[in-house]
Amino acid sequence: MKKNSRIFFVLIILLLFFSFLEIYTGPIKNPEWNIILTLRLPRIVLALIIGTNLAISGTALQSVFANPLIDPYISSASAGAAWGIILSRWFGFTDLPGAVVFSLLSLFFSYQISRKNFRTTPTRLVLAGVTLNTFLNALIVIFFLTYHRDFYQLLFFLFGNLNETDWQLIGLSFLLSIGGFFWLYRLSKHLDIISLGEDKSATLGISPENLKLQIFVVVGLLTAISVSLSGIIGFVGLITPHLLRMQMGSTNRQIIPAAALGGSILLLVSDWLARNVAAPQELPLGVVTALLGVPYFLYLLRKQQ
Amino acid sequence: MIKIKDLYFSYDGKDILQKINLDISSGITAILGKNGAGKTTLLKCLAQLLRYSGEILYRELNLKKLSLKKLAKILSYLPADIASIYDFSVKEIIAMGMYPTARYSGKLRQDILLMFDLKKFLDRPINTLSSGERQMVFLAQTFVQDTPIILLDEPTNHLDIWGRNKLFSIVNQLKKEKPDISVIFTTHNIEEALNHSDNFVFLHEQSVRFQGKPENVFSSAWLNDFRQHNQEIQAGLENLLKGGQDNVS
Repeated sequence: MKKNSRIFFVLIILLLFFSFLEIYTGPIKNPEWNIILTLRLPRIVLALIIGTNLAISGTALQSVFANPLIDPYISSASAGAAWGIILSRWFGFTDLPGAVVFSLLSLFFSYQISRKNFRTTPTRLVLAGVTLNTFLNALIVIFFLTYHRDFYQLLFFLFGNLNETDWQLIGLSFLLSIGGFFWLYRLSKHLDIISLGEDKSATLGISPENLKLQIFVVVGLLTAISVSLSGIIGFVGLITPHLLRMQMGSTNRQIIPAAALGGSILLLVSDWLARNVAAPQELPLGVVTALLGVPYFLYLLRKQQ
Repeated sequence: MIKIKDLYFSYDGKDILQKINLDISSGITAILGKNGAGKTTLLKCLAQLLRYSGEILYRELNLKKLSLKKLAKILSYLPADIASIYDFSVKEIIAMGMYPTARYSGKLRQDILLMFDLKKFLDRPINTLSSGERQMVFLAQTFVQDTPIILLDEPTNHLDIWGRNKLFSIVNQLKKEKPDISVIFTTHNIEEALNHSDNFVFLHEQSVRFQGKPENVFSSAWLNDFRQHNQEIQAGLENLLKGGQDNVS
């Protein structure tokens, strides 16, 4: 445990360091307060919300399915949320409710198609998620090719960014995310147990069906918040819990809070890279996290055999 | 103690268990049968993990009607080939077994740790242990749940002859402390059943072919011989390991 408190300390220091880096460096040298407050501070708050949401969602999904290769992106929850946003804008509603509904639907759907005789296997779950994800992404491309004039802005938005500046939306998302965090944290022991298998979980008094439903709802909500604030950002939910488990063991009581910090750091670093590598051009954030995440995913896949 | 009444189970349109009627008394019961005879299925029905038709009663309680929480105080279950994909420490794995009673924050039960000789491993990540040691940890996890019915699916998988004997001596010790417990395990190893069980159930072609004490099938003289033989084999092995060159009698 002592070792773990040291890790928490290091994570907090890193978070502070990268927050300062995010505030004081960027395409504009020696920024004025005005720029810091209106452009850079929201980025930090967004990184905190989105990094936390994606990383703890990934942690929860990986535990509940005893599957280290799953996260909000691979399970297609993110692509579902993106469709929710597209349809909401099409019909003139606000983004978030539609995003929640469609994120939940695609989570549920990819889970259902992976099931055979009521059981799923890690491989089938990943394949189902990847398939649905590819399908939804293809539909998104077709949609934008057809209606590119009206929705061009949205296309760039969906590639991932931390440019949202609507404090009202950020505030609401922050509150909802805190609720989601504590909900998952409260379930941390259940998540430990179910990672040993659904039979073990059921005979220890924890209903696998009920737990899965709760995780779907929370993950759907947290993913939808992330996507409606900042577009689709992959791999943060996948790699953060892994890196942490290698350092601090697997109990979710420790991993969930650590993932919140770790995911935020990863997002701050990625955003800093996105803004500075090709400045003044800003790279889409989802592209940067994918560049960081794909090699790691392949490494995991190989190790998994 | 446990009464199974007219139990049927089918899966994918195929009958796996047909008209099972059984009375299982306290003590150690082995479920035997060929591969695919339905041993694991019967154990899972007992653990209420499958939707069967018929009734399973424990002290007049219909187990099907109990909530999972209540059930977790009555029966514990060790799945065959259980493993942890994540590297919890041995301590954390065992503590999960105490979830139904102590919400797994309480102290670990020292007696079980001692019996299983696990104290030296407590802080080790589970996946750094050998498969036999791991099996012992999951057995300990099942036993700390402290339930009157203990269901073990092929518990001696990965265990060597010493591990196997240790497991059954622990079970016998528990039986002495609490004469009411029923330990039910599946095995395809007839020796194991004859050596260690008070009763055995033989499944064949979807139903119970035989149920009773080993003494009802084999003469007690033969059984004693058999058991003695097994002990001699083990003594001989130990002798060999100590470097003794004496013949294995």
